[in-house]
Amino acid sequence: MFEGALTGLKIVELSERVAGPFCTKVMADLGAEVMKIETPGAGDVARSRGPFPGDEPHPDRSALFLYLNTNKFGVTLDLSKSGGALLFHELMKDADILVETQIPGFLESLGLDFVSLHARYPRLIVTSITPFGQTGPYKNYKAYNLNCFHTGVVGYETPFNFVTDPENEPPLKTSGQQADLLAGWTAATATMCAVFHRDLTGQGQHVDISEVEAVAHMVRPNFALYSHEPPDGPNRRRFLRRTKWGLAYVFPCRGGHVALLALTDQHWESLKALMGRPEWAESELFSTLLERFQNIDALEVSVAAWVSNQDRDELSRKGQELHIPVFPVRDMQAVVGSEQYRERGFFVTVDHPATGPLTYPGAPFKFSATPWQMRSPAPRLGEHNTRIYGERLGLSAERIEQLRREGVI
Amino acid sequence: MSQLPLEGVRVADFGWILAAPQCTTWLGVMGAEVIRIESHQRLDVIRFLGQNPRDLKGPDGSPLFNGLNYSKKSVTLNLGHPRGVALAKEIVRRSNIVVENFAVGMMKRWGLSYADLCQVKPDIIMISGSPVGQYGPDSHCVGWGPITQASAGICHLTGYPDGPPSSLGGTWPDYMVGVVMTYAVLAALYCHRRTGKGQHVDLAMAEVVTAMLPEAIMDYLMNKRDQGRRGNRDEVMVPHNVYRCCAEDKWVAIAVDNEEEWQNLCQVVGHPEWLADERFKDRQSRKAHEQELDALLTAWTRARSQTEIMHLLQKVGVAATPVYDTESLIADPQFQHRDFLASPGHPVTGDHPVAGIPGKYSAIEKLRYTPAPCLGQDNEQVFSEMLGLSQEEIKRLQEEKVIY
Repeated sequence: MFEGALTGLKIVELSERVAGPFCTKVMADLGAEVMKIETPGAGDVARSRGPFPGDEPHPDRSALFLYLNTNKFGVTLDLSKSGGALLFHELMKDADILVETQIPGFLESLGLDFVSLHARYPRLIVTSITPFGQTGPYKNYKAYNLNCFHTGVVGYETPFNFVTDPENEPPLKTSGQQADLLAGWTAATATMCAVFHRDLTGQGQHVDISEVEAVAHMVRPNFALYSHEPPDGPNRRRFLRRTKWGLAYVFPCRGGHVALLALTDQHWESLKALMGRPEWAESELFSTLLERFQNIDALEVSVAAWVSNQDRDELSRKGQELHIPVFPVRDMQAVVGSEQYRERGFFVTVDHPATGPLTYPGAPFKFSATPWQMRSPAPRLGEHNTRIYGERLGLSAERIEQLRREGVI
Repeated sequence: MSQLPLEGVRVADFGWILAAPQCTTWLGVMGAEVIRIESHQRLDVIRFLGQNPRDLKGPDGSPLFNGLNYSKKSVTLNLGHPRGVALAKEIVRRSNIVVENFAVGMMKRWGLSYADLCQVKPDIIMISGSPVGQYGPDSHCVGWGPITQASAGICHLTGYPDGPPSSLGGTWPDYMVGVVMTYAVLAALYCHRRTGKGQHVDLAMAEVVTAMLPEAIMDYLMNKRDQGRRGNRDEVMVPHNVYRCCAEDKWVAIAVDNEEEWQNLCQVVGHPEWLADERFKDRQSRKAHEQELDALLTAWTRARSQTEIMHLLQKVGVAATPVYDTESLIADPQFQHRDFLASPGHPVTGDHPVAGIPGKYSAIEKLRYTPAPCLGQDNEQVFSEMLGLSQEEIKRLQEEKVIY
């Protein structure tokens, strides 16, 4: 029997796409039991999003969906049908946590909002993830990953550290669904806080996560630096615009690019040694942390000129020997071929009836006593209907068939 | 006063820089007693960053540090001294959780490895954050977030089409890794409550980043396709970009996912004829003519302000939101309504709003926001009250630069 760190927690997921499913995935991966509810018919929208093996769309073969829904049970349920809400209540009876990402007000219209649920299940924790949260003038506004990433300021500051022509270098999103996934981590963390609170008080509660706030939390120094500066202060403008944060760049070099940081005096002394102590580097302009910070543009140009003549892998190796944070910019081939990842067993192969074995990224942490485990692949649509509605809730085969005919499941 | 989730939990915090402090701040806000173990010997560089160069205030005067490290205590201990290590162990003996993110091997060198700490506290939970993990051929590598992300693949995937690879804003992924560390610590704590078992969690920053790139990684593994850099574009959604607004360097993000949204967009921007245009007749056609479509849409957006566009399009269910810089976000009515900022205050840098911990909790009346600690401000309380050292001994240890 698998013993994970979160074994014993029971979660119902009423969500689709990325943020909600990722929140429950990271908990399922550590042993929580997760019951994923999908709408009969099409199911989770993520099933229609690629990539697919061989580029052939199929609802059980979306890599995004498969990755986000490992270790979960999957049932179908239409909450808008009269039998649907009843079954939902059956599922809630022994649940610890409901994770939902519906537009605020939707669950209320079904009588399934936090206040109603709390009255029936006082220990239930309801975690809601929406772009702007459950309150405020924008609470019903729509926002996808692109929107949340940009409204939460991270997009505005990407690319990091080298925008020189703002009008022609628009703010930039990054690969995949970073804002959604970040909201998932944030929600899982906040949910655990509510679990401990329940241990103390016996009461569940409503945890309200705004995805845009989860993103804005990533630029947290900006708020402090902004608020501490007088309105006419010299630093105010610099922290408003595309921030230059210090010598931390992606530089072109021979054989590709490196990312290099030299912030502290120790980094800088090591970098000077690595560069062979050129005369310009001994300038007063760069002698202290604050001087380097103030003269960052000049510093960047000079370091870039030197880096451009270096070999990527050799620079990375020699820099690391001197404890300078420097890594090659790795492409997909280099990432999946990384010896470091291989030795740590980071990538895992998961067999799924619809795809055969595929390789997924694994967990980013190793728990010494309760190791992360891939117990089961993502469910096919309604895969566990019989198991959950029949075996667990005790519905007869006829009743299940009837619910299926009525489109409830 | 309402109860906080982590009341009664004590954290020995060896963390520094950004990621680990982010984790222990979250724990402190939730009610844990967090004791930051620092030293004049190896001061957290963040204590000196973000200060006004014409008005330097020393290690307690950094808005950056004070805006990150609130809701915890600080003691100073020289871990290069055996007595300093012994005292650190005494703190660990009385703690539930140890957090650290030193270069791999440092804790062991000081005699503070997980195995060492299990000797004094067998059920301790320890989390070690590092760039690429505690073991493996690259485990000796040092890296801060903005650099480590390059090794994890995301820089390669971030940038304008045909442009160079780029890092992400906000010293990504440091603060995110802090959130993931918090999650991992809480999961281990939950396990401890249930089983009595402690454990060591080895968290690799690079793995956090790569675990958030499932599409790019799996596309490469399944289809041998490297997705490369796509600017703001999406594989499926179109339009999907940031568009210039009327003011300088102001942009609005617009993402359209389905036919209904597309039809509503065309109506609101005053171009119902696009619906009959062959170039835009379905998702595939719009994707094929995405650049033309973006130019046409920009002609409409650049005559309007961010918020005007947001409200007009949101009214018909189209996801349009401003691309915010920090100042605009602070001024936004939604963020003001949500009290996103907190005011823990600080004796040296004053009472100015800083970023709080995200999430609203219906049953927690007030989260605990207390000022970031001045360096060593809790030496007296921790060494005298908690560890029971006499005043003379504390004084002697200070002179010997053990408490230092």
